[in-house]
Amino acid sequence: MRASKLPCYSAAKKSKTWDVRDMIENGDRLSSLPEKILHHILSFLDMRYVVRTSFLSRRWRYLWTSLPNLEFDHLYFLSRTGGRDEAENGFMDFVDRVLLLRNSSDIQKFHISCGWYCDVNRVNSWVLVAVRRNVQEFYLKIRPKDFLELPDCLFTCKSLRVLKLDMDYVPVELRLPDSINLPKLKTLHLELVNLDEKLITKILSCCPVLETLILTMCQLKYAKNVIICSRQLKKLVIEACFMDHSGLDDCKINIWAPNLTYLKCVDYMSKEYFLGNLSGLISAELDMKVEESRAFEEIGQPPSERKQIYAQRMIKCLRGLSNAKSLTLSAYLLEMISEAPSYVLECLPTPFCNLRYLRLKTWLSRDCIRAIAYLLKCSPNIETLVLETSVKSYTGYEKQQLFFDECSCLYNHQFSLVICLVTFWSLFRRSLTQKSLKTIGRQSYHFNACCVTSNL
Amino acid sequence: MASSSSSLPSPSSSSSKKFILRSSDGKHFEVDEAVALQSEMIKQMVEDGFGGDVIPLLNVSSIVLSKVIDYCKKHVELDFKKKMDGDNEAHEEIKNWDSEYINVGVDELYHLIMAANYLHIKGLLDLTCQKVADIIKGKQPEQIRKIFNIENDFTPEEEQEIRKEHSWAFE
Repeated sequence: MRASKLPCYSAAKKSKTWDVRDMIENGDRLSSLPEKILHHILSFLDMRYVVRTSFLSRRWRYLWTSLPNLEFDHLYFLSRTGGRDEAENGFMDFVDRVLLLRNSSDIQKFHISCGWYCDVNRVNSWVLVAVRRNVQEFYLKIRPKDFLELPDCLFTCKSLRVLKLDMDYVPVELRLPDSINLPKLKTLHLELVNLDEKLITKILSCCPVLETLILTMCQLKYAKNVIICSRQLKKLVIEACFMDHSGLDDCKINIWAPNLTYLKCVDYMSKEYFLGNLSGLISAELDMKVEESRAFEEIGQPPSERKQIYAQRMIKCLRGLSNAKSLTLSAYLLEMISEAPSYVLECLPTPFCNLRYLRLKTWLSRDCIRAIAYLLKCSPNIETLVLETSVKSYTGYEKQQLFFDECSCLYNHQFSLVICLVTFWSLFRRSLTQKSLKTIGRQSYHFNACCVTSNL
Repeated sequence: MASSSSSLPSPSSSSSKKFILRSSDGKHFEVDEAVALQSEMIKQMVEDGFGGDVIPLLNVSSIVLSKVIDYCKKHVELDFKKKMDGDNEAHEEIKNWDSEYINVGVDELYHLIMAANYLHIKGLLDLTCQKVADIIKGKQPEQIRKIFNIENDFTPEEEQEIRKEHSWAFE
């Protein structure tokens, strides 16, 4: 079709081109597929395997040179004999060659995963190539020594829609140029990056259409008061941001995003979340955890006092999520709420009027029942309750108390749980139209799905 | 309204709109709206006002179409489950079902790719292309040629030349 349009090599002279009809007659249907589809197939392969397809036939010889999605992983080079640094060198040479021999068509996706010994200067030249080829999706996994500084042009790239930077091992500083302008950036994912207040504020102000912000394992070492304030943000994920070195010293995270539809927080309760205007929220997952007891000892605060602070924080978070249609809450959170004094629980003035779907992770300890009852009471329109059960992984500061101990008269665990929840429902006298109650077993507890309908 | 069965309520209740798809060999398939709209191409047709009676699919035979409909049906069901059960459980189920579904011969794979491309079903196109990539991965050119019936149309000189050119890719 367009084999002659690929004059990347000096050897691009063709004596004979291939013909789709010939291929189908010969039973070679794969090669007869349009170039776009063949490229799509190749985009699922690491570049190492992609380049090798040029050996197959004339049809395939130059196919890879116009591939818009490039994926490189240094791991494919590690299995070879020789030292680790040798493997990395082999990897870097390979990337250089692919970029050199490729034709000048645009790069849509550029995914590159480097190892320990990767030369940052060479990485920087790859970034330049990607930016010049109007890259839309850029993903870099790298282990820089002290900090990472990428070419300025990446942060003013007009074509960039998705940017993911992953520091692979320990959080390091990301040095940004003074001027950032990413007019098309919709998704930003930072992993293992040292964050401070200024960096987040800067990013949010320089990316006018940013809809998805994902912060994974980032360290808030220098941050005391993080402000995530954005009108356009639709999806925010904060996953287990590192604890500060200063132990439990509280860090405040303010979120103000009226158009946010999805929020996920996997974090420690030592961080205090202030959820501002989240009026557009549809689905939220609050997977808040309690630090190990060791941390409490260091700070010298008795857990009971701390627990009360945490319970108040969690109630405050829940208040911020009152518009959500779907909520998923962690077992720790349930435990904290269950143990909170009544006056703390009364702080939730607005019920979850929109809430249809509630998913609770629970250890089924005796104490979480109070929280479940409390949440059901606050949710007049709930349609589905999912209990995801698991066994608590111990950190040692509390003994597990299985709720089932109290239902010893019933032999069947599954049954006892249902009975318990049926009691809740009848207690609150819901007029339910259609309800489903599901329990999902994990580890040693396996419950079958059961739908409890209008008889509740 | 409330169903007392132990299965999840189906997203496609009897009240939902039906579409009739006609395959290239003239067979008719009645499917729920949600199932038909998995295809971006059909979605576009419906938006442009073609949804009325029968939707002709000129490039898809009945054998392939019924297999494609299986995929769409299952994914409508699984999308619904995803909402109910959360991502993790549903994800596992989708993965298992997909890998069972795509366990087909090279010829069937080709027809599914063509149909997914024509009907614009992104999930199915990804699944089928991923399958081809998985077959290619880690194999020697000769093995790949054999599986897909690819004729080696290089002259011995050309082959020699490519071998030199690409020695770096085999290091």
